[in-house]
Amino acid sequence: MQPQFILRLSSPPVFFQMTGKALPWLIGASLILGAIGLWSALFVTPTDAQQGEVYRVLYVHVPTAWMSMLLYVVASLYAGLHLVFRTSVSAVMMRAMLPTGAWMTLLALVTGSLWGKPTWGTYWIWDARLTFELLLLFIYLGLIAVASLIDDERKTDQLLSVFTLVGLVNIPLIYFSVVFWNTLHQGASLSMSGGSKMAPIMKATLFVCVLAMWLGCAALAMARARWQLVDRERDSAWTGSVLA
Amino acid sequence: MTAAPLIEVQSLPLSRGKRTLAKALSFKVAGGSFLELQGPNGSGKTSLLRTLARPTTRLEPQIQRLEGADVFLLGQSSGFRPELEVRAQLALSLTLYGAKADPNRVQSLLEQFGLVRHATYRVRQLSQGQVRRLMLAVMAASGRTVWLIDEPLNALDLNAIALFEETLKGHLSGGGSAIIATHRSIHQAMPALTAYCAGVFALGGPNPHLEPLASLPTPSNHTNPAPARGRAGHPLFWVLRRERLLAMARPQDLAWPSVFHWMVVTLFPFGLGSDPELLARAAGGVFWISALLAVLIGATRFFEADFEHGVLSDCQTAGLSLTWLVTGKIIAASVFIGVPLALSSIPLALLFGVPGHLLLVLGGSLWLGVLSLVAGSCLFSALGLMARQAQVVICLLAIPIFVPLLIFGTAVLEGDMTAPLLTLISLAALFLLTVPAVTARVLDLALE
Repeated sequence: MQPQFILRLSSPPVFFQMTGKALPWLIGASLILGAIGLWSALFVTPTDAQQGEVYRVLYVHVPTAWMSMLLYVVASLYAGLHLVFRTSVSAVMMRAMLPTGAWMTLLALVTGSLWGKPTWGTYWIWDARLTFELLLLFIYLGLIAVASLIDDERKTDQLLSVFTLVGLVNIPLIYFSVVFWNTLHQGASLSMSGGSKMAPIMKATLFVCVLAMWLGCAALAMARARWQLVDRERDSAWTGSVLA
Repeated sequence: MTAAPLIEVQSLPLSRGKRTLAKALSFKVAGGSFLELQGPNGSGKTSLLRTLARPTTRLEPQIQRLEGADVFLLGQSSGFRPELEVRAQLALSLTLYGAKADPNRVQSLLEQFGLVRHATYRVRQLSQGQVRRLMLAVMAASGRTVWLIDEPLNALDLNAIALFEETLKGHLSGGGSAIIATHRSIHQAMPALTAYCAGVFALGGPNPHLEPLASLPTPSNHTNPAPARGRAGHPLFWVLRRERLLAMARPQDLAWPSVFHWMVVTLFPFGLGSDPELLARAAGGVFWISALLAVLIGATRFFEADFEHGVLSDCQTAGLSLTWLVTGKIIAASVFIGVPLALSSIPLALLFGVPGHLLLVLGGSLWLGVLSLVAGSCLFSALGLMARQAQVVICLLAIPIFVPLLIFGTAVLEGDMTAPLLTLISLAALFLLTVPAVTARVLDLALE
């Protein structure tokens, strides 16, 4: 891709037009892949030798947990872009990542504890990864709160960028300290895979599920960004033709 | 001959929030003359003055200041803290602008501006007019070349108005200049100043422009303004001196965080039961969470007073970097809040059955903790300046940042203390080195 193309994408009307074209494809691909993945997860893959049927929750849990972290990194990238270039497209993309990321974190927590009850015998243990995921949810919620507290949009964009990047520095700190804390207090240290080797069909299914989640999140964030962009550029000329 | 303009504005757009007030303002002010800004309420007089007063590094490219031409903004907020003594506040304000502030100089200024009887009063005991007099005194002695004055005649009595006239005349005849936003025409009300008036700039109309005065004599041979003098000493010292004065003005406030800490800590045995073994094991967590709460409760007010009284914007105008201001405030808080809290924790820890050899470690780590906690929460209290309705909630957003501190802080009391202690020290260093710059950025946004 030429740099010019990327630069052109930072113009709100161009961004709106391009994402408008891409969105149906993204949604379609995500739905189809999701259907294939779930069908395979529920009916094709074999039962796990140790965990039984319950392990199938992982086909949802792993993609959400993955996305919860990935979306934060993507939001930080847009935050950095916004601090450097001050374009409103990067600001709305950053803002659009946050609710999606928060939902993914919540889903990861819920599916994780649903899986934990039959496997570990409890919905919640203060395991390093679980605790970290909970703190990540707090960070997402905090950033969403910041986004809604201040009236001035331009200031909010910059503040959110600053605080998202502060979080990016903070998250590894939190992660390593939580791991340290976990080993210090000798909490339960169960591993997710339970030691069982994954069959190729399981891997493939998981891959399809992750891909579907990727595309789904991209579509969600893009749709939200388009919405916000039109809302904040209500008064400029190009939105008139779009809204008409 | 005409002197080079000290400040020149070329097609500057002016807006407040999203509303555009003017598309392109152009004017210039030469040394030895002043400009009157007129216009109805809401026409952007104050906004324009504040735009002109920005620090050089954040100035719009449409505004050109002559090399060495520094500004002073006499705005609506005083830049004084009400709890300080008048004499001490005057000396502080003068040093902020890099002016001399020896006792004789301060005394003669107080005499000149009719405040000598009130020298030992607190600023809050002054009337509104007396506060304005004090502001005039700072401006007169600031040594700044361009005075930006917002409604100078507000709340002034006849004596003070004459004083203002005299001060401004001295400034202009010395080659300085001024931009004055006013509803009452200065050059008509003060005949002595008419000769210096470069014209009236009318804001608010469809076409804001400069109307030169017909009778304006060409400015006589003016010496170019003296180059800006450096501030004596490092800005950090100014901030620390000011924090010390503020702490000494209300010494009882220093005790509250520690008292709060004691009270919260004594609540825990009621909730946990009085089992000595359990209490000894819980001590680390209890002390840290209590210290965290003590810091968080005060944190909402970390910048509030300085923001409201215009100290932060004055620092910006005076060229004192907000990064140093934040650094100084964090260090001061670690002394004024951290030391009492850490010291008072040591006897309290005995009640929790913490073994004797760990008492000093607990105190020391709590002090490091308060330093980092203050730094972490000051970032969010700067954010709170922009969302007043939710200031308390915003400080709660800082809690995820505190998790690593809590983990390593309590780990100090369990097992090998070297690694957690070193981690605490490096976390404190990381916070102290990074937080001030980020906070300064957030404060910049709040001040816009």
